Amino acid sequence: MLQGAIRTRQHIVRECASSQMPTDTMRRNRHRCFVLLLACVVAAPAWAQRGALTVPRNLDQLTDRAADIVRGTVVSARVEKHPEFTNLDTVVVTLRVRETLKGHAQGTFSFREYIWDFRDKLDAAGYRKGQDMLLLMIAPSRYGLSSPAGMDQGRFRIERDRSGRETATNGTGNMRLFDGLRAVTDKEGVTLSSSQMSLVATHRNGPVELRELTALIREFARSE
Amino acid sequence: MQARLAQVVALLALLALPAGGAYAGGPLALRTDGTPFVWSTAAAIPYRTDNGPLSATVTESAARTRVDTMFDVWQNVASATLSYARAGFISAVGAFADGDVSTLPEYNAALGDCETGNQNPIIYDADAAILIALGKDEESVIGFTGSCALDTGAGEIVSSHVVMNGLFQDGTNNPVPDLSAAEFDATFIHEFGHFSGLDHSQINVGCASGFCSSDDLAGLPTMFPFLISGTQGTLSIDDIAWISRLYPAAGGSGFAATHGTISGTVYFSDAESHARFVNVVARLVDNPGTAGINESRTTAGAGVSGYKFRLFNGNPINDPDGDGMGTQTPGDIGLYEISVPPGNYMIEVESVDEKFTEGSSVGGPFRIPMPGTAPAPIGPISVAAGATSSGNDVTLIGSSDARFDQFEGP
Repeated sequence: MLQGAIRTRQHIVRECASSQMPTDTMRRNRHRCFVLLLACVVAAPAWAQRGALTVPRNLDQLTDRAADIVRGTVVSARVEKHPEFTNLDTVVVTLRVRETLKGHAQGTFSFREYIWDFRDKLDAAGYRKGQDMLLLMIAPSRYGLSSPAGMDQGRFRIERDRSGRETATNGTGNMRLFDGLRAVTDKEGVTLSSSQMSLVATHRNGPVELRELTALIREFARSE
Repeated sequence: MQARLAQVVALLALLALPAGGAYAGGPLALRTDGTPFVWSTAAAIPYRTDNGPLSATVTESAARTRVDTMFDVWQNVASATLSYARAGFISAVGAFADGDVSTLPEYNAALGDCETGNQNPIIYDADAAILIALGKDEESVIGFTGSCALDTGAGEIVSSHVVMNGLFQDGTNNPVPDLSAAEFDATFIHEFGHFSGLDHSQINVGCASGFCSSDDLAGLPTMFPFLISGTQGTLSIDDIAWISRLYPAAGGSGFAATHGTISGTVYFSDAESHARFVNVVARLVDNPGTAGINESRTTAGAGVSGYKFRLFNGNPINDPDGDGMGTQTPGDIGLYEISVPPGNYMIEVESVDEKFTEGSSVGGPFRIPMPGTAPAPIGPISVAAGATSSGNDVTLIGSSDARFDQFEGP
């Protein structure tokens, strides 16, 4: 599906970029190209994440990839070498669990994440004591290493907005988080509330209400 | 030109700002004197490639050709001196002896040799076995670049490595759909920009949200945080300017002969306090004689205010040096610098986009909204080759309580 979208977009880009026409015709065609690009270019195939590039994943895909989904408060984050492979820098993060949406985490939840960027060594990959987070973590590898599904896409910071509601925002500003979910819910028989349907249909990017997000995650986890 | 407007406001959120930052649109890392970490240009940067296939369908030989071509994109910038040379296959070391880095013990061995500065490995993770062992989501990570060693005394990048996920080039849509070859290569041309010492850059930011004309796409940097199109495998004006600024070539096609610089300070609306983390874009004034092309969208450079200043200053008791990157010169807090080809430019300011946070950040790992609103673009500013047009200050428009330090004691 992504492949098809990419091919369509590339075709449009080439068509627009090759315009060599008189001004009026050019303007009309450029307008048409702009509209086409507006419709298609949102399907950005890759996002950068501290020296990495990732493809966009929606909430269903992130939930599916995650073995543990927990909401909690960071109680420690320290950078240290992997105990066996000592050239690997890692950050060991421990959260006090407030809510488990998938998996069996209780009390505290710890994971060891590989970091390759020197800036991550300076700031513990952005994990800080006291942070309120929702993490969608993939299963640890045989070497005890784990990361959020989709990298920063599976890592949500929780904040309160001006009205006091808890909101969640992932490392890409929740962009494309709900893309394609209507089709998924129809296919998998997931029932959404009217507010969830509205969220899925209209949200482009920016914070989402935590309560709505966790309810959606529970629905997708249940349907697996 | 200098534009200072009387104004107001500053978002109180900025009170929580760390006092510095040295992660910037432009260079990836800066020394304490504000100069960027760069590779030595005394010789070509030697890189070594994996002797295994890139994927089930891309042979070692084909991958090697593509990697060479990706490095050539940066090397072919006439105004930059940077050059790269393949030094052979990844050297055997420790647990790595079979030529194909394909397991975590082998990756660990190659990484260790990279960390000692012995080699810069380009690793093909054909079936994503390394990413899986590293606990990374192999269905979403296309690849990554990491510096292995920095020489903080000399201000040099000593060694780096790259890992490419072959699942995105294996000719099947399972477990992940392939990227086109152009998109995959554009991804790693971006990564090789990081390898060379560049950070992300924000120009024509509407492209990240779907508002992208063909002119916007032409001006979109390879170092934009999102890959929008395979066309980003061709460097933009901004990419060329920044790589040339880091590695300036001399002579008739060199940096000084082909670029000038615009600098200034972004101020809070008190016109006194420096404002950091504001994205500044210099756009060439559109030429009405070139029908169908809007040069203000195709020809632009960008920088982030305060890019030279230290991000984390630590505290005087237990961490007096902070992160040790960037200056602690107060005059750098709101300073921006943008190099562009000669011409007449308008200066715009904007927030770093809310989607560019954490690892996809521009100008710092924290995304801080611009305090207040942007004034009208200033200019035109005439840029001459080899010259710096300084004092092009921008004062933001805000509310009456417009200082970031307004709650500080006397």
